[in-house]
Amino acid sequence: KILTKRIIPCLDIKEGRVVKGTKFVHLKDAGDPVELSKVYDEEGADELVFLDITASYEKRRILIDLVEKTAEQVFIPLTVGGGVRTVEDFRRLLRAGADKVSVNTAAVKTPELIKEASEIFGSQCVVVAIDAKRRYVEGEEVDAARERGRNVVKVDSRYCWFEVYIYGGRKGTGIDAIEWGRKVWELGAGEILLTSIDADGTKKGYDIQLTRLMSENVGIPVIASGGCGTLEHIYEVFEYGKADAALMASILHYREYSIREIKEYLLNRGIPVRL
Amino acid sequence: MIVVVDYNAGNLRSIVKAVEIYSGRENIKISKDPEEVLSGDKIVFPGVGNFKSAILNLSKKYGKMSLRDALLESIKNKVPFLGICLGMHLLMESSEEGGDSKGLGVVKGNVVKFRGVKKIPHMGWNSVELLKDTPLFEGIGNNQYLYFVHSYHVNPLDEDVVVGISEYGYKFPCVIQKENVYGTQFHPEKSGKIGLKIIENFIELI
Repeated sequence: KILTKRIIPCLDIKEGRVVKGTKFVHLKDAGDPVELSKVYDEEGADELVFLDITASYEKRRILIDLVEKTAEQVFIPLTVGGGVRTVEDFRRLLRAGADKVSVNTAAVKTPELIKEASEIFGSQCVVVAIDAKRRYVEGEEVDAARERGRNVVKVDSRYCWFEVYIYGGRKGTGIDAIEWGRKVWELGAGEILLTSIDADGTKKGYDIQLTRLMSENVGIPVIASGGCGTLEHIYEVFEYGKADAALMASILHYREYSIREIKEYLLNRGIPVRL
Repeated sequence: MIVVVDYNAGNLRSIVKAVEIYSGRENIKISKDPEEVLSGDKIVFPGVGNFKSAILNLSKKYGKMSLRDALLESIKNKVPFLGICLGMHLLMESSEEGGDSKGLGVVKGNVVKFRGVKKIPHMGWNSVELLKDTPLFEGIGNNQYLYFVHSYHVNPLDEDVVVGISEYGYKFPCVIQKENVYGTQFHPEKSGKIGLKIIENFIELI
C-alpha cells in the first residue's frame, strides 16, 4: 500500500483538436480531445496532459472551451500547458477546470511567475515543464563544467550535463537543468514535467540518467517525458530513473499498447500502479 | 438544495459538475452568502490552497454573519457536511500552515505537514484502508485507489473519528466522520468512478 506510479497520456492540441495521428478506430472522431480523454480515463489513465500548440493568441479561447468541456466529463486530474505567460493565463485555465497549469519558457524568462502563481493558486497546480538536452564534455571541459556549477554525469563512457532549452526546444539557455529544477522547487513549483529533447520522438527510451538526477535532486514529483517506445522503457524510467510519473503519446495514440496492458506489465514487474 | 461553498479556495468546476450528476442542475447552488449556506440541506466544502487565507476569507462578515458562523450553525443543526482536502483541514482546531492558524474547531486536533518524506506534495493515486463502516463508502470495497494532492494532513485527537487511513511515509488519517460531518483528504471529484460513487453516496444521505 504505497503511492502508485502514474501513467499520463499527453495530447497535443491545436485549435481545439488533437494533432499527431491517433488510431482509435472505435472513436467517432479521433481528433476530438474530449472523446479521446474519456477513452483514456476508461482505460485507467491516472491523469491527462493537454499541450496546446495553437500559434495564434486570438484562438486561445478555443482552448478554454475545450478545458471546460473536458472537465465536465472526465473526473481525473487535467494539466494544461503551452503558451502560458502570466498569472492571468493560470487563472483562466484553472477557472475553466484545469487542475494544474504547466509553464515552460515564461518560467525561465520570469521565474517570479512560479512564485506568484504558487502563492495565489497553491503549489499543487503549478507544473514547471523543463526541456533538457545533453551537452557532452570531455577532457578538461569536464572539470571546467563542474566548476561552473553544472551537474556532470557519466553516461556510458562519456560525460555530459543537461542544458535547459526554451521556445519548444529551439533555443538553448546555458542553464543547468538540475539547478533549474532545484530553483523552481524553491520558488514553489509543485511538480516538474521533464522532457529529454535527445530522446523525444526516438522511441528508444526515456533519458534515465537525466530523470534520475532530477528526481534525486528535488523534493517534488518528477514526470518523465520523451522517448517512450516499449513497455520496458516505462519500467526502466520508474525503476532506474526514479520517476514519479511517465508521460507518453504515440505508444498510446497508435494503439501499440493500452494503458491497461502497460499497467499489468508494470505490476508484474513489481512497480506499484493503480489497476 | 445542495450548497457548494465558494470561499475563493481554488477551482470549483469539477466538484460542481460531479455533484450535478447526482443532484440535478436545479438542486445545486454555488454560494459565498452565509444565508444561502444556512438554507442548504447538504453542504459540500471543497478547497485547495492555503489554510490561513481560507480561514481569513471565511471569517469576513457578509451582512450580519460570516461564512464561518453559517457553517458552524449548519453543522450544529445536523446538516450533512462534506469537507474535501483543505475543506477537511478547516474543520480542525488549528493548522501549522501559515503559522498555527485557528480552524473551525468542529473536530478536535490539528493539521500538520508531512514529516520525513522525500517528496511533498503527496501527489497521485493511493489506496484507502477503511477502519470502520461509513455511509460515504457504501458499495465501495476496501483499499481502493483515490487521488491525493496535499502537503498537510489532519491529526484528530479522538481516534474514533478516523474512518479511513492511507500511507505516505507513515499512516495518516484520510477519511474522518463525526456524526453528520465527513471529511476526505483525497479529491473524490478527481478520483474517477470510485470518487463519483463517494459523491453519490453523500448526495443520497438522508
